[in-house]
Amino acid sequence: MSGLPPWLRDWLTWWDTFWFAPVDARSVAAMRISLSLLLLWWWVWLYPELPLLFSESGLHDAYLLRKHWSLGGDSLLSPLYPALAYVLDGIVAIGLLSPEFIHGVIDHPHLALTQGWTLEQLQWGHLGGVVLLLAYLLGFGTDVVKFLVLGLLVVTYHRAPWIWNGGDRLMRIWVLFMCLTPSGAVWSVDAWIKERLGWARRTTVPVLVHRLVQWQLIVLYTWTGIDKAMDHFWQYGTAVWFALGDGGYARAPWLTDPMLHTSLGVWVTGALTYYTLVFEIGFGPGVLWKKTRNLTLAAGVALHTGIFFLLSVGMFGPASVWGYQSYLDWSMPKRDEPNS
Amino acid sequence: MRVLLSLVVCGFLLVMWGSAMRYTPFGPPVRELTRPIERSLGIHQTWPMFGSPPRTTVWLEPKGILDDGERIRLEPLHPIPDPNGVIRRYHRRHKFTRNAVAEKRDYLRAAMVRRYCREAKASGVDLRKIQMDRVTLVTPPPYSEYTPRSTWRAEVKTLETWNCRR
Repeated sequence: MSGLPPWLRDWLTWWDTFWFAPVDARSVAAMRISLSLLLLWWWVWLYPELPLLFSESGLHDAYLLRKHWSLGGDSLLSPLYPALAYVLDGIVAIGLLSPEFIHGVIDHPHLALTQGWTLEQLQWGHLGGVVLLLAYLLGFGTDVVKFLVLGLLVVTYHRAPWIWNGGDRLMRIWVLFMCLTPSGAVWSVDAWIKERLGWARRTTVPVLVHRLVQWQLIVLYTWTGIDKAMDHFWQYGTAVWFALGDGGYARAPWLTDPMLHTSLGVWVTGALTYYTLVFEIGFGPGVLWKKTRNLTLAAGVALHTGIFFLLSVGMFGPASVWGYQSYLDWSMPKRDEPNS
Repeated sequence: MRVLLSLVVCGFLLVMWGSAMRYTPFGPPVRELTRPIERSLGIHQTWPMFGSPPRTTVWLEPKGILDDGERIRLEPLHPIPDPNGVIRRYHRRHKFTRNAVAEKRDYLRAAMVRRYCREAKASGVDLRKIQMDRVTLVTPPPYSEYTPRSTWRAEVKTLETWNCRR
């Protein structure tokens, strides 16, 4: 770095500190464990809906997916296709895979893995997912398993694209981020095996994943806050009132309806509407300023807990709150200080 | 390793920018490059959760039509939950239905029809057609008197009628 101009050197130092400063390895282990518990909860609830949503005789049949779902046209990999085709031709020539399979993968890569499964195969596949997530939870083979978990989520997403919501997407993003860190360094079977073998134990990891999660949450809340602020019903304080009126979302209408149709009910839902708006728009500044960080996070936990009990909206709340861990102080304590 | 991770971070930030800014002049040029990654991994950055809150409860009611014109009721994919009960878990068929009620998403309703036709055939009922109705229950405005949901105004619109393949 000595030959670089000072401004560039300073910038590179900032970049390095911002993304790669060491933090306690237990932080990402806690994130791995809590994320795998969330994923297990999420995954197990897919089981009852396997026949309807994932089987060939269910809603997402081959015709629907082939005709109406694609990976979005030319990809960044498109320039590599001629070379890829050359390699694949070689594989076909030596008889390792059939040309039909290769064409299937190229034309519809997102379908190649899951099309044509019987219900029994789907159930076994689901059980395989449980095993994979348990391995992730226990930190067994974490450096490989984390990528398999990402693959599991991505393949599941493409197999039934019209059933997912923002919470599911957030879970995929978290799993993607967790692929960038050695989350099995401590509190894992991997660490236990390494200890038994006498290998050196890792105590710190780069702060990279914390930073990515922090930015993702700021973008998410800011985006949704601005979007809501432009809507008439949010401006007039009636958004929560109407959300609770939707019979598909309201968790227990018999409990909330009589309260909603009172002056107090309208006032309370108005207050909750503005609370949500202020929280979402203020989240970024609130967490960036250290003095208001804990208050902001507590406000978020309260918001998502309230939504969880009042509305059935899936994993968005738990997945958002999972991300709050990234704001906790996991910086390493100073060592080698003389005892006074 | 840090260089590689830095490249991944830059790549993700670009995907994030292109996707989150897609409705501004700054997003589309970036998104042209990053869209395949965003789409492949399913990581798009639009977060309109209740941005426009639902003012109605909507569901689809299919009706089977036999050769002699008789109409039979078919179980909706996601019937509206009992207002006197509690929704204990999130049903993904609800999300599918919400996607399918949009008029332009007739391909999703067609997928529902194919399944209804297959199921009816398997149970020995030879359906000729399926009529898909959208039922909209209008939420009364704030400060209105409390009335049970069963008395709320419901609007029924026939979206289309599909033939069952025989």
